[in-house]
Amino acid sequence: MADLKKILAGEGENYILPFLWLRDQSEEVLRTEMEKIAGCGIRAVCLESRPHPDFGGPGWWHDFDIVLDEAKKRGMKIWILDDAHFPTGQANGLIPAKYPERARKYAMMQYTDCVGPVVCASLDISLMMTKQFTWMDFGKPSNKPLIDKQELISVTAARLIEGDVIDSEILDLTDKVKDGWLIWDIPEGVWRICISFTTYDFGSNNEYINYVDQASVAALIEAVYEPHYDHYGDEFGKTIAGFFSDEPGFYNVGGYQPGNAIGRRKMPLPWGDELETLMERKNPGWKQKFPYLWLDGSDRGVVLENRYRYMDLVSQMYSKNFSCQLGEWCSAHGVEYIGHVIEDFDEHSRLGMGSGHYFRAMKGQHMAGIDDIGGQIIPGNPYGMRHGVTSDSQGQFYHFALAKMGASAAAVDPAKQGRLMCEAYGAYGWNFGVKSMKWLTDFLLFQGVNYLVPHAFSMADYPDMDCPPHFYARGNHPQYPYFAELMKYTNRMCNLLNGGRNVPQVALLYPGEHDWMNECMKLQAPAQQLIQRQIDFEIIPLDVFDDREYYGVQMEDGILTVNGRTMKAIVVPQTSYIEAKEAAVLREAREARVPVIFVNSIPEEIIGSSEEKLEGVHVAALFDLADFIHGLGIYDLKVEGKAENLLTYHYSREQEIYCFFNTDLSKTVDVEATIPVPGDMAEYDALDNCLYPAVCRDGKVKVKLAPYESKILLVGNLDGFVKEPAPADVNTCAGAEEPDFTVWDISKGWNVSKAAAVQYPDFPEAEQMDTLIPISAVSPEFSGVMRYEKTVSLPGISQCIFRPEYVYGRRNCM
Amino acid sequence: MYVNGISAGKKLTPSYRWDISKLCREGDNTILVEVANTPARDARKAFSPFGPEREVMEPAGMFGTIELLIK
Repeated sequence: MADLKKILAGEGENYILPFLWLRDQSEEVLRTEMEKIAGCGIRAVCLESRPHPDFGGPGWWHDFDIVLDEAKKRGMKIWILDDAHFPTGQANGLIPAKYPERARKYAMMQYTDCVGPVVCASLDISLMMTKQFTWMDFGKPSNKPLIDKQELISVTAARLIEGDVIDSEILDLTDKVKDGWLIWDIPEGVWRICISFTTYDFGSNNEYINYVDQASVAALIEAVYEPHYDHYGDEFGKTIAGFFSDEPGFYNVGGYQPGNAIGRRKMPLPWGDELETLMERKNPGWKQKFPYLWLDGSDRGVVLENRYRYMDLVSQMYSKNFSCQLGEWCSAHGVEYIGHVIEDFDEHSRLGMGSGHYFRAMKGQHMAGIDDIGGQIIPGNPYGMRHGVTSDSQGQFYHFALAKMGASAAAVDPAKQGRLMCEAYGAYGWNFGVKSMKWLTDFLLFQGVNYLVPHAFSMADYPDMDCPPHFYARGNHPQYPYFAELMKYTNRMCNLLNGGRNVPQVALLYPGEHDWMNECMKLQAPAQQLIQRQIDFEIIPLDVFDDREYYGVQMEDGILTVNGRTMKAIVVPQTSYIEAKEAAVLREAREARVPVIFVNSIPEEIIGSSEEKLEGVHVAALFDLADFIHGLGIYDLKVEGKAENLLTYHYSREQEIYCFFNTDLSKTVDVEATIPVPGDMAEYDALDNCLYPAVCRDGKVKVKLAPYESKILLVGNLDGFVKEPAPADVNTCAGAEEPDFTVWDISKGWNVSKAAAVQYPDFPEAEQMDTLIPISAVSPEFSGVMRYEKTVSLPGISQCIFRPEYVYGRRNCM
Repeated sequence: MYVNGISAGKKLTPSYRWDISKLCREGDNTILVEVANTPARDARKAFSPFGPEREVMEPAGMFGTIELLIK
C-alpha cells in the first residue's frame, strides 16, 4: 500500500540504469547528457568504458569525477561496467602485464589412429601436445600463448569401432611414455591412441582471465574493482551502487559461433588446477575416460556420465570462482554485483560463449540478468530466424524462454530478492523507435523483468553508428521526449512489479543437464505452450534440491514450493537421458503426489543409476501440454477461449496485480478473463499514473486490446486511490465501437510544417496540404517532428474524440 | 496532441485516439498534432553494420482520413 501511494504520488523508486558510454567528450557534453538522462526520470547510470581512451587512467578518473558530481547533484546512482571492453575478462590487460602465470588454461585431447599388430611402435607424445600445422597456416604469423607449456593428463588407447566411436575397454598407456615418447606393442586391429593434456594454447584469448580459477579472476578485481574502490570508497553503497559484468563466459573457443555442447563439438575445454583436483575427487578414473569429452564410446552410459561430471564441475567452478567471487567482493565493499551472460543460441548450458549453466552463472549476482539486443525479440515476429551480426538463431528462444529463465533465477534464489535486470534496445538500429520499445518493454515486464538497462546513451557526434539507437543522440533523436515518457512508465511499472512475487502454477525443469548429455528438447518449446495459454511457470534448476534450506524447497501434498512459490506439477522437457539425481528428485516428487509430466516421451535411460525407475509419471504431447495441465485442474487466471497472443502476468504483493498485453500487431484480442481472487478492482494507467475503477462482473473482466495495448488490473484493498469517474474507454480500442457519435471528416486543409530534432520547437512557416500524405513520400530522408495544425468550428458538444486513420504505417483502431 | 494550446497528452503506441471533450469549446478550436519519427531516415548517411538501414521503414507522419467523433 505504501508503495502504491508513492507511485501514484510520483515518488517511486528508480529501476532504470542505462549504459552511458564514456569517451573523449567535453565536460559540457557529459554534464548535458547526465541532465538528459535525469530528464527521463532515470536516477542511475551504468558507465561503459568501451569507447573511452583511458579506462583506469587519469582521463577515466577525470570523467568519472564529473559523472559523480552530476549524480550527487541529481540524486542518481552509478553502476560500473567492469572491464575495458565486453566480454568481461580481459582485466584491463593485467594478465599479460603482471600475471602471465594466471592466463587462461585449457584441457585438450588429440589422437592418432593406427592398425596393429606393430611391435615397439613409437609415438612422439610431445609433438602430439602441440598444434598441428595446416595448409591454412602458411604465411600466417605463429601466435604463441603467454605460457608455452603442456602437461600430460593421460595416454590411452581403445579399439576404434567406427567413426568416432571407441570401445569401452580403454588401455592406459600413460606409464609407457618415457622422455616424451610412447613405446607400445600395438595388438592386432584398429586402435585410437588418445593424448589428453593441459595447455595454454589452442583456445581463444589466452591473455584473458581464466573464469574457473580463483587467482586468475582475482586479477580482474585488482585491475578494475579495487582501483574504483581506492578512488571512491567513500561513495560505495551510497552514490556508487555496484558493478556490472557484461557477457562473461568460458570463451574456450573464440567468436560467437553456437553449438558449443560438450562432446558435440571438438574443442579445447576450460581447465584449472582446482577443477583438476575436483575431477580427481569426484570422478575417479577420469584421466582414462577423458577422451569421452570428445569421442563417443560403445558404452553410451559411461560416455554421458563423464560429460555430465565434467560439465557439472566446470560450471560449479565458474560459479564459485567468477560469479561468486565478484559477488562476495561487492558484498564486502557495500555494493551489489549484477550483469548478464550470453544466453543466446541456446548456449546458456554450454561452453564457448556460454557459461555452462545459466543458474550457476547467476549465483553470485545480487540480481538475475539477461540481455535482449540486436533484434532478438521482435514485435509480432516470434518464429522467424534471426540472422544476427555473428550467427543465426531461432526467435522462439528469445520470445518464450529468455526472460522466463532470468525471472526464474530471480525468483528461486533468495539473494536476488525477485529482481531481474534486462539490458535492452541495444543494437536494434536507429529504426527501432519508441513505439517498438514500448512493445518490447511490456513484453519483458510481463515475463518478469523489473530492472531495465537501456542500451545506450552515447555522446559521440551524431549519428553514432555504433550499436544504435542512442536515446538523446546529442539532441538529434526526435523521439527523445517520448522515450522520456516511456522511461517514466517503465519506472512505475518496475516499482509495481517489485517487492512481491509472481504466481507460477507449474515448475518447468531447467534442461541444462539434459543438454550436457544429448540433443534434447529446448526450454522454449514447452515454455511457448505455457505462455500462449496463460499458464505461468518457474524454470527450476535441479540445484535447488541440493540446498533445500537455502532455496526454501518443500514437496508435500501435491505442491512443490521453492522460495515461497508454490507449483502444482513438474514439467520435464523431452530428453533421451536423465541423470540419477534428477531421477531421484522426480521419484520424491511423485511420492509427495506432485504430478511429473514428461513432454512427448519418457527418457530411455537413467545415467549413473541402475536403481532409479520412472514409474507413475505422466506423458503429455507438446501440443497438448497446456490442456493436460488444465485437465489436472491447475489454473490461475482463466481465459475463455484461446488467445495465443495474449501475454498475462499475475504478480502478488499488497495487491494482486494482473497484467494483460496483446502481443499481436494486427489482431485485436477480445476475451473474458476470470480473476480468481475477490476484492476491489481498479485499472492502473501507468502512462498517466492514475487508478480508475475497473468493470468486473462476477469476477469476470472483459479484455479487449488492440495491437500494442496492455491493461493492468489491481485487486485488493484500494481505498482512497481510485479516481472517479473512470474516463470513457475512447482512448483505447475497447471504445472503438462507441455508438451515437457523429463522424466529422476533417481530413482536408491542414497546415503542415516540419523541424529536425535539434531545431524543435522552432518550425519554419507551415505549408497548407489539401490532402495529407506521408511526409516520407515527399522528404524520404527527413527525421524529426512533423506538425499538423487546423482550426475546426464546433457546435456545443458533450464529447469529442480525435481519430486519425494513420499515424506511421499502421491503420489506427477506427 | 494539443487543443487550443493545451496538451491532450502524448501517445507512444497505437491506438492513436484522444478524448478531447474537456479541451474543446463552442466555436473555433485549434487542433495541433505533432508526430516524431525515428532517426533512421536521417542517419542513412553513414556506413557500418548498423547503417544505412536495411529494414523496411514506416512512412512518416499522419495521413489518411482524419476524423472527429462528436455527440
